[in-house]
Amino acid sequence: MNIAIVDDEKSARENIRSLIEQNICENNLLDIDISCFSSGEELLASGGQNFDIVYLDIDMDGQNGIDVSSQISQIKRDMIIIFVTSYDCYTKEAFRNNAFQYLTKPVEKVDFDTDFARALEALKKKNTRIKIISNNIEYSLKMDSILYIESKKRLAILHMREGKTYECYSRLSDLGERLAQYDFAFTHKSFCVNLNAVVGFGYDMLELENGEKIPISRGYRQELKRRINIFLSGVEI
Amino acid sequence: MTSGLVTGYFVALLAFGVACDVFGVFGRTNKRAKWLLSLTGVAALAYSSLAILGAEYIFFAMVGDFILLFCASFAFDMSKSKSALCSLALVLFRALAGYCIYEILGLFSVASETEMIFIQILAENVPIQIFYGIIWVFCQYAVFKFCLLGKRIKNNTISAKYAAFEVAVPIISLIILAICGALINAESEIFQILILVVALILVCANIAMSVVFWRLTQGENSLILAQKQMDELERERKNYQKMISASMRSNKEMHDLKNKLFAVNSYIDEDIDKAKSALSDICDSIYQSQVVKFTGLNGLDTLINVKEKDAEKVGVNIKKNIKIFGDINIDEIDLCVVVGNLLNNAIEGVAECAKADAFIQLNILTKANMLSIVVKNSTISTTFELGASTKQDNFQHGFGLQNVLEIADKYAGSGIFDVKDGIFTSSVLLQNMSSRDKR
Repeated sequence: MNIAIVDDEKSARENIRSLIEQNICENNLLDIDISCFSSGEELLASGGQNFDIVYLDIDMDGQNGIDVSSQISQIKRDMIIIFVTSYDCYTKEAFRNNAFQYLTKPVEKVDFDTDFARALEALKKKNTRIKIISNNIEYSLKMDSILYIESKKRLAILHMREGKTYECYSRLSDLGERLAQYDFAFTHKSFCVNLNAVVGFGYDMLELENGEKIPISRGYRQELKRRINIFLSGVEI
Repeated sequence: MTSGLVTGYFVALLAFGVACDVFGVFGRTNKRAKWLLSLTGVAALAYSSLAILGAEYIFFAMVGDFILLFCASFAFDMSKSKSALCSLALVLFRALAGYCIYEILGLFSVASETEMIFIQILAENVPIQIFYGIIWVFCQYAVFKFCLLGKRIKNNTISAKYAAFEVAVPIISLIILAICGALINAESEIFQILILVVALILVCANIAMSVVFWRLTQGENSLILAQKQMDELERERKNYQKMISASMRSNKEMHDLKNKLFAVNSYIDEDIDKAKSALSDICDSIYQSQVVKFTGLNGLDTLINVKEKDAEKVGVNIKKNIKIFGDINIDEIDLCVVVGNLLNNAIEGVAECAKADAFIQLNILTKANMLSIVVKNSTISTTFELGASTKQDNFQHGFGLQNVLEIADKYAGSGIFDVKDGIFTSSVLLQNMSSRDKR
């Protein structure tokens, strides 16, 4: 796993690096490479596609963190970007760029560790793959690339982020159970949704990032909202 | 020598005293009711043992009995509403038990002269005995109803028309029975049986009325409670509105600070004392309006600051994880109601805990159009019941979390409250969209 730290202040870079290293030692993590960059341009020049987690300072000389994040997420969509900032007002922008989290300077160890653990967990979930057979061809699909699964008669239809669909003969209830630990939740007996892709909800529908609306049935409403809340807060409810 | 009649009566009183004590000590009632019940029990015990010695004072005994009954009814009324039924059962049991023992012992023992006359009347025929028994139960029942109603009308849990009915029916029944009592000397046995039938019908009518009215008042209770909850929500909203205006004012004051500093700068050269005093005013105003920012919403930040101070008073620091991405489109007052109530609840919860384990964790996080508020705190409770309150006066409280649910519903969200392993968790999910844009 590759982690990048982008900050124009050397002391701030070193601080994050030492926090990561401490965390690696404490949790016996393996195969983690840390690279430091003193500006956004430097990161972009390196290609940037190899990184899984990027700690990005917002207020930097030259290109600011917000611009860098927009460019880098075009290169690699599922990269986890964690902003490090002392400016609260930037977070409004950061959100639009789909920030995973943000940390405020000076970064406390407790906050860092919580966020880092969440980021690792999210990364693990994003990279997990599921095998399905559609039209007699076996596919190995990334969990995170599935938007939602719809059940039609005996078919389960997987709707992907990029707009593709895969049809396979499987019961949605079986699939949904397997996917529950990867942030998938039922909204209806015929719909199972990736909570990462949810951007809003109403009384009887969920809104996904591609603008699609998924119905919520009464029987699933309470449990669904509990799952969304656990997903958002990262706290067991 | 003590007559059987009076002994029977006082044995019943004794039983009542014991029952009061048992309920007072072991019953699920609040503190004040427990005290009153226990004292009533002790008084009944002392009173019955005294009265057994001076057996002639049967009428004096009856008056004392009514007073004790009055106290017991009040005590039951103070406790949870379900106990009203228990107390009704207790009244009936007491009256019937008293009457039965009174009858049995009265017939086989030596009595005083006045009592003999009474016993003779009673002993003449069975219908009269039953008839007086019924009158006695009715008397107690009317007293019980009467003292229950006073408090319920005061609390607004029952409307005047039901109250009037509930008192009027037993009293009218008593009047009818009294008239029948006057007629009962008539020789005809058929007439006596007829009167008895009337008495029994009245008893049935009263029981039916009690059941019907109990159900009706339950329905009305929930309406009154809903109204109270709305009033409470409105009151809270007004308070938070005031707080938000105050915090906006202090923001404006901070803005004016720059101008004031320019003024101080100019005073320094001319009048150093004036400069000192102006500077000291500025320092005061800064101190007063120092609010630590967490969310960027003035009102909510002020609220969290205030609640942190409240929590410090009970010796707990609120641990916060507040990450707001983007704009919050939820009405700030609504957010204050939610966060304020959850924190109040948490502070009350930890206040009862041992200091070492006490903690409060506040999480506010947003993603896209969703806002999650989760509060966790240590608690000694093992169960949670929505609408119940830990505060003494149960009826006036317990709206806080209901108001939270009301707001969650307004924003298409949800509110879940749970107690597990000594930790109380409240989680609220709201749609991050102003309520006007929806529905």
